[in-house]
Amino acid sequence: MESVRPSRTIFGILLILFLGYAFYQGIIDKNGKPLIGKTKTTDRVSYNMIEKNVNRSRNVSNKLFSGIKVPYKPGTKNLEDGTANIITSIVVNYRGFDTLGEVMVLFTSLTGFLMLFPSLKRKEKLTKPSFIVRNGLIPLYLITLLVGIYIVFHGHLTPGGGFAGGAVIATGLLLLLIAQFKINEKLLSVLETVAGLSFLTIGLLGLFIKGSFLQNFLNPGPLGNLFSSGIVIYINLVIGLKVASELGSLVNRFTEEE
Amino acid sequence: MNSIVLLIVLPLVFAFLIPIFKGLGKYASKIVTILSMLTGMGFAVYFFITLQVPVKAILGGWKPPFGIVLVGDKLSLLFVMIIYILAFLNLFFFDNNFKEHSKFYTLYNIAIAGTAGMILTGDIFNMFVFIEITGIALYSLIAYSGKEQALKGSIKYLIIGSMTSLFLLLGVTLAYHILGSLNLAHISSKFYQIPNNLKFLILSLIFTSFFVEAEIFPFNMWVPNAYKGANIPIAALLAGIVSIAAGYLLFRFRYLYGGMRSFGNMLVWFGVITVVIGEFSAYFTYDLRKILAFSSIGQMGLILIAAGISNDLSVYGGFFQILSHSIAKMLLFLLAGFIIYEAGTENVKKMGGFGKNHPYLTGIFLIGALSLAGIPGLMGFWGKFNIVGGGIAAGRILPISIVLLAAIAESVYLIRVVFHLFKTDEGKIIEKKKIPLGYLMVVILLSLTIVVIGVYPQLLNQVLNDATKIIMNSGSYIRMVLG
Amino acid sequence: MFWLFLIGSIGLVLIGIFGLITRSHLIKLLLSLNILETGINLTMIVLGYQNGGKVPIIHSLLDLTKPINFVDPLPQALVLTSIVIGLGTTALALILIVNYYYKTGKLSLERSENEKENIDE
Repeated sequence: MESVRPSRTIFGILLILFLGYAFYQGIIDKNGKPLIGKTKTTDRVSYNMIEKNVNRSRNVSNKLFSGIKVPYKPGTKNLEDGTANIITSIVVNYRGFDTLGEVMVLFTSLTGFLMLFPSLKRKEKLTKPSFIVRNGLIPLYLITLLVGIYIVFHGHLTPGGGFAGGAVIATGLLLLLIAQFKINEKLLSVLETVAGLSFLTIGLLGLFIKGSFLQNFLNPGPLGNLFSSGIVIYINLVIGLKVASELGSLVNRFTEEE
Repeated sequence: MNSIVLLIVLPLVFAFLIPIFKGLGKYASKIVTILSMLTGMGFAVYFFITLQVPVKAILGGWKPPFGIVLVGDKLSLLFVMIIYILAFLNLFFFDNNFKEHSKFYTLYNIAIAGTAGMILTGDIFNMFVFIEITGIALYSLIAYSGKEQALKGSIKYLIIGSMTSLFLLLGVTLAYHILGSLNLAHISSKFYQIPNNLKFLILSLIFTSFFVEAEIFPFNMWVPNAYKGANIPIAALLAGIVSIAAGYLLFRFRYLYGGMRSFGNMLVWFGVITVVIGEFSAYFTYDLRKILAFSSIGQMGLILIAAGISNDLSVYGGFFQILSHSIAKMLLFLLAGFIIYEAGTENVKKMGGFGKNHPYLTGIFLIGALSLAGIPGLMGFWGKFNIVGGGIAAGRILPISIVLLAAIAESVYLIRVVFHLFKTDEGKIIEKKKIPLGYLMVVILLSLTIVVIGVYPQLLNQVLNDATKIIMNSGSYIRMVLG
Repeated sequence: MFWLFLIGSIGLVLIGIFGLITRSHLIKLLLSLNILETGINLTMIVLGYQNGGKVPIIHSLLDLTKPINFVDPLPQALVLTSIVIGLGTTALALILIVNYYYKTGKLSLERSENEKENIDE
């Protein structure tokens, strides 16, 4: 059992009291009125992303970005970004480079994970799964896979996207592992590399075709359609593939027998 | 000039190529990494030489405050170039018998891409992402050697690093909540609008994260463990390359804290505490790697002091200090690797006889040590000289005198190491080992750099003056990015 | 509502810091880190929240002439990144802890009393 020294507890309490007080002091003005919480989305860059008029906005002094309002309805064409889900549009399009970094973080931690994985033999043999587990999990796996693919493909229309969908697909792989099906780790690592390279390739294509890394070089298409929003759907697909294969090989490593 | 994004993307492409090519042979991963660093170095040198006016790389085609922007000016491209050169030189010291070497090289590529990203990006959330990429790659690389100290250092680094980068995230979100932007130029153009206490809160939250990478007290307890346990090239990577990026960030954010004397004071005193703790811990240990680790802490503290004083002279000196520290520390770590390999011990007291075996290598060690200690005629002198001059010009006599006292301690313990190397122990003879040729060339190259720039500091004068102007004049940066 | 949410999430952050300060068991440290991370993520959501704001998705049935009713989508996008980074960090931390445990047989970074520092391990 771990013993906690009382001196440390007292120090911890004092420290969090101090930090909480410092935070409170930071967010109030001289009269004790709060400085934050007066939300004005109009003053933020995300306002133009919601309005989808980033390219038409002007920098007025350094205060506001006034843009021309684009009235949009479902089916509107030639918006600068045909994504109905604005969060996806920010994640994949406006701030796509962050998402590349995010994918790299996942790749890095998986590489480190596999590099440092201790080579030790399993002490106990796994019990064989029963008939019901082995056969009942197959339809469940297929449904999970379908849901995952749906989430990936509809990331620009409904809540979801590559990360969520990829995680769902990886859950399906975990189901397979419970039933002790073998997953080919080589295949997963090939998929992962292909997905990573295709993300970078999409970005570099944007650089060579349109002149800016990760720029949307396809036609945005009408708002609300499945194949709208140009490269967003492809990037979501690539992310989904990458996340699924990465998380899959992560859980797969635990069940491996030497 | 949207193509400066290649400086970040190319190592990532090569990182993905390594798993494909690793089956081709024992050295395939290493060759791919060498190619990666060479192309990166080539592009960096090309961009740096052809640079006339500062450029920005717009990512995704969205103009600056909305999308992410990379900023390439004389300062950031200089630092990226030096990172690539040092990362390439560092490759000569990699052991070829690594077990999982393909993954190791993959992580090395990613770490370099991450540091380049930290320097180039002009967006504070993107900076957070790159700090995390670099961090996660470094945690694994440090732990790779498998020693207890390395694992300890790695776990400590991971916990402190993740905690503080979450603080950074909170600071970033607060800044976004108030000012509505994530772009550094856009934020600094509006930063004067918010009251001082909120500024102080946001800046403190952001700077805690830099303090981890910059090895500032109290976020530096991972440093001795990590430097002690990690493989020598990784220790050189931490000391020589990551510290450049960390130091750069401390100065780049002068755009936000420039006018705030209270925050500058805080930075100065954190720096003074770090210098004192670093130098005196190094004084009382006889572990060669820990001496270098603690000395690294002390040097980074000095850089923080320069950032806190933040007048022309001290910023100039700070850049000089970043460069001279990273080159000298890299040289010393690489030499220490050979010394430890030959002597078979990390205890300085038991290393007697090495100096007799390799008098020239020990001489080079002396050059690096004297440069770190700031002896006139070597590169390290000019950094300290300018920082001290800046401190006196700003009227901060007390911190500067403490720093000078600590510098004396530093020169004492560094020269003590050389003294122990030359001391001959009667009972024990260290077997002489052959020096690899590539190793020798790199070591001579680094030491020549130190001597030549020490004698002719005007070689760096022009570029560092430009860099200082970039840091001191936030208006032109804002106009360049947003215009 | 804003202040309630803010106090709650900052409270989680402080609980996480408290855990990181007082505990020495590595798994508990990692749990504290995750609590801290959840707190920060919630804080980010709160800072993008708007009273009466809607989910920032352009609905297929509604003609949204006033999209300003949306909550701020940008912090939500940032939180997505932060969650994924947290996942990567946690996976790596667990494998580091496993390695450390196999190497030393303990789950705390603190040195016990009978251990002495030896320069050459």
